[in-house]
Parts: sequence; structure tokens; C-alpha cells
Amino acid sequence: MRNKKAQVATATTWIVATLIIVVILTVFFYLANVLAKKSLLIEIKQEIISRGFSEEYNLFNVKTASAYLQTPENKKSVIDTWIKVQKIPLNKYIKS
Amino acid sequence: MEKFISIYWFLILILTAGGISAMVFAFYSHPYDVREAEAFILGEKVADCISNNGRINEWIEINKENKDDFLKKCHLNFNTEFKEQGQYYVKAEIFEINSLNDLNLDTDNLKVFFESGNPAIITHCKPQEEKEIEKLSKCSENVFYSLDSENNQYLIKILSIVKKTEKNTK
Repeated sequence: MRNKKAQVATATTWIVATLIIVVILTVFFYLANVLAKKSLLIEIKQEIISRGFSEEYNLFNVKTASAYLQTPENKKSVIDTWIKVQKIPLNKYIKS
Repeated sequence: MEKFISIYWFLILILTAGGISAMVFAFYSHPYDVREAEAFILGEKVADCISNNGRINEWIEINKENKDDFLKKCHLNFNTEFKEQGQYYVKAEIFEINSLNDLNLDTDNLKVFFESGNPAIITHCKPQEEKEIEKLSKCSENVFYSLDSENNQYLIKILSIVKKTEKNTK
């Protein structure tokens, strides 16, 4: 009788342990999914990708600056207004 | 009893290893959405094709109908590995600017117009401006300034769109 009780107690321990493992795995699996969707790693990689079209390296602004430098002085007023409205940091490109 | 425990341990081992593998797979199988960058790069390629060193390229004939194939001229290929084609769209408009009123980029000042790809995906751009929707195409619109050989001034507007939702979203 004592042996049987001991066996039941041991089995209960294993069942509880199994359940804990399953619960932990499920929680971690869910977290892995959440992190995959919005993880820091992905955001950092997206940031690196996005840097290519940030204002600093923007090819369109470089092209605008290049054309602006060749524009005759008497024709600059219209394009000056457009550059001001678009907030293109022209000085940054012309200096470099 | 010991035999039962060894089977049990084996099952737990499989369960844990399987769980960890599933987690790793779930984490790394999530795709990176690079369509925004792709659309921007496509726009840059078209910009390079239209204007270089501040001057509009010679192959573009202002005030004339440019019948030549835009894609061929710009060395672009819109074919993809997807069954459903029409994953890209590009539109380039060249507006002449002489006064402040011309900065509105009205069709009256439109001198040259190029278009290629699937125009059906243009409708995806408007909803994307209001709220980012993963399943819709990504759009990139850029305007830059250029001159022609006679110092006439132009604003060039380029709209580039990339669909490819199958590969970039889950």
C-alpha cells in the first residue's frame, strides 16, 4: 500500500513537470512569434535599409543641388521658393 | 517503472527540442519587408535615367511624344519570379517651371510623361498614406529639380510602386 502511494506521488510529480514544460514552451513559442513580428533585430535591419533613403543620402536632393548650382542667377528665384517649401537642406550637399 | 521513465524522458527530450526548433523557425521565417527601399531604389534608377549632373538626358525629347520604350531606355526589367506579373509600376512626369504658379505641377506644364508596369496598383498608394497596410503595395514619390541644355528649368516627379506582398509579408 505504501509503495503504491509513493508511485502515485511520483507519477503526479512527472505529470505536473510535463505540464509546466508544455506551458513554458507554449509561452516561449508565442513570444518568439511576437518578437519575430516586431523585434529589435528586425527594426535595426529595417533602419539600415531605410538609411539609404534618409535625407542625408537622398539622391533626389543631390540631383536638385547639382542642378541648382548650374542654374543662372536670374532664374534662381522660382527654384529657391520650391526648395524652401520642400525644406531641402541644400547647404549640406553644396558644402560637401 | 524505470522503463516507463526512460520513455518519458525521451518524449520530453523530443518535446523540448521540437519546441525550440519551432521557436527558431517562427522567429527566422518572418520576412523582412524591403519593398519601401525597393520602390525608392527603383525611383532613383529612373531619376538617373532621366537626369544626370543636373541636366536632363539627351534621349528625352521635350514637347515631343517619346514613343521609345521607357523600360528599355532605362535598362529596367519588370519580369519577376511570381506567377502573377505586374508587381511594379513607374511613372515619371517632367514639368516645366517658369513662375511660382508652375510649382503646383499642373498638367498644363507637363512636358513629358512616361509610364510603365501595372497601373492597377496605383490605387494602393492613397490608403497607405493614411495608415500603413502590410498587404498593399509600397509607394515612393519623389520630386527633384533639373535643367535642360538650354537652361530651361524642370521639376521631375517620379512615382514608383512595388507590390510583391507574397515575398515581403506573412
